[in-house]
Amino acid sequence: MTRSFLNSLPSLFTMTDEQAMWRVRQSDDAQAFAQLVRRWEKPIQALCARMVGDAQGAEDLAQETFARVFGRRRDYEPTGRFSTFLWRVALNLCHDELRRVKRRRETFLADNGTGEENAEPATDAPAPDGCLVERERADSVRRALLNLDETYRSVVVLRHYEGLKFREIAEVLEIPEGTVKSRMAEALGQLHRSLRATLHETESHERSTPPPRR
Amino acid sequence: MKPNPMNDPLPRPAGKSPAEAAHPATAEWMDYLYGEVTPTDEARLAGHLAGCAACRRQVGQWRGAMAQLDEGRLPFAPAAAPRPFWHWAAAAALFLGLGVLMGVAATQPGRTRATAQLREDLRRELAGELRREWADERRHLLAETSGLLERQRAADGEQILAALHDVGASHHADYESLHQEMENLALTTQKTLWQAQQQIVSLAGATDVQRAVFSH
Repeated sequence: MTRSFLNSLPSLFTMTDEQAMWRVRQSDDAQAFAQLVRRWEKPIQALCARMVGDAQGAEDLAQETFARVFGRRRDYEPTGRFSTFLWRVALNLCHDELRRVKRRRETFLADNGTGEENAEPATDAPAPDGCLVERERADSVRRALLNLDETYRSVVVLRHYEGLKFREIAEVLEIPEGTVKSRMAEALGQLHRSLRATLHETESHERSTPPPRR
Repeated sequence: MKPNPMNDPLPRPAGKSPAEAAHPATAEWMDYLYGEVTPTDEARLAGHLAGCAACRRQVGQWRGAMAQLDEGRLPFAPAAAPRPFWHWAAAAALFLGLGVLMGVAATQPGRTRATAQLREDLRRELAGELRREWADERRHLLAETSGLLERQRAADGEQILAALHDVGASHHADYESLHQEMENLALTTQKTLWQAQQQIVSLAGATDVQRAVFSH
């Protein structure tokens, strides 16, 4: 019996997110924090990239998220899930960044009197020829997503791309679950209309463009 | 277009039966589309969908949007491999060479604008390069730090396990010693009891002799 107990001990060393965050909170445990960063870095980067439409900026935002989580470790309530706390911090940073970008764009427009209407997602890597069509489609979807209001976009990103349940999203955003679902429905409706319009524009443009001379 | 109210998500066309007109709420459809319904509700909603054209149209639009969202799952920008030092050297050489070219070009009339444009392009390109290098370096350092911490944690875990093994062995020795002492105590007690019994028997024998003497 003693041996089986001892053999089961190593599994006890795998901390849950909540245990790790508790150690960070209580004793500034750097190992526990590194473990949390390793587990959550990619999902948080993906969330930020979807929210702000900029892959490079998303890396900075993800790092800022973890820096802020560490800075606010005393605010963490052990009764709640760590992931809820983390998603909330990341989303708040994304909202701040979007506000900053909006202010910069408004200042630029006021100075120059012109500008692009739609935000362009970052696609700085050249696409292979075979993937060109897929990439163009993906870019259209990302543009449509970026044109959604932030309140709708955050619900779509958390549910569709990050796979959170509606109940979890309600906890993160601190709104009723019914509101989350109605926002999701409205967002899907808006995306459907906007992407259909984009598709029609592309088709009519292709029809009106003469074929290249050989 | 405003979002549909939760309890009346879809228009109720005239001339429909009450069963067909009682459309499920938007929230239920969202649960259905994202697989967050019980099997019973799923069957009920699927049944409604089969018999209601308005809901079929609405759900079809939502499903279409979901499928298009799936097309946007491609990575934003593939992670660049770490660049060796000579990339920096090549970039610097390129920058210097182009700087000389720009200097020559700037002396010729009518090319000032093109030069400014080229300079701006170069500045942007180098800024982007620097940013990517910095991101790579940061990622690399983070991975190294994480690995170091992980190894340290494993070593700590092994030390704790060894300490627990020692404690277990010590407990086992204590138990053995205690067991031995208990056995000794039991033997001593048994011997004492036997002696007491013998004394009682001899006392009883003496009493019988006294009785026999006095009766005579």
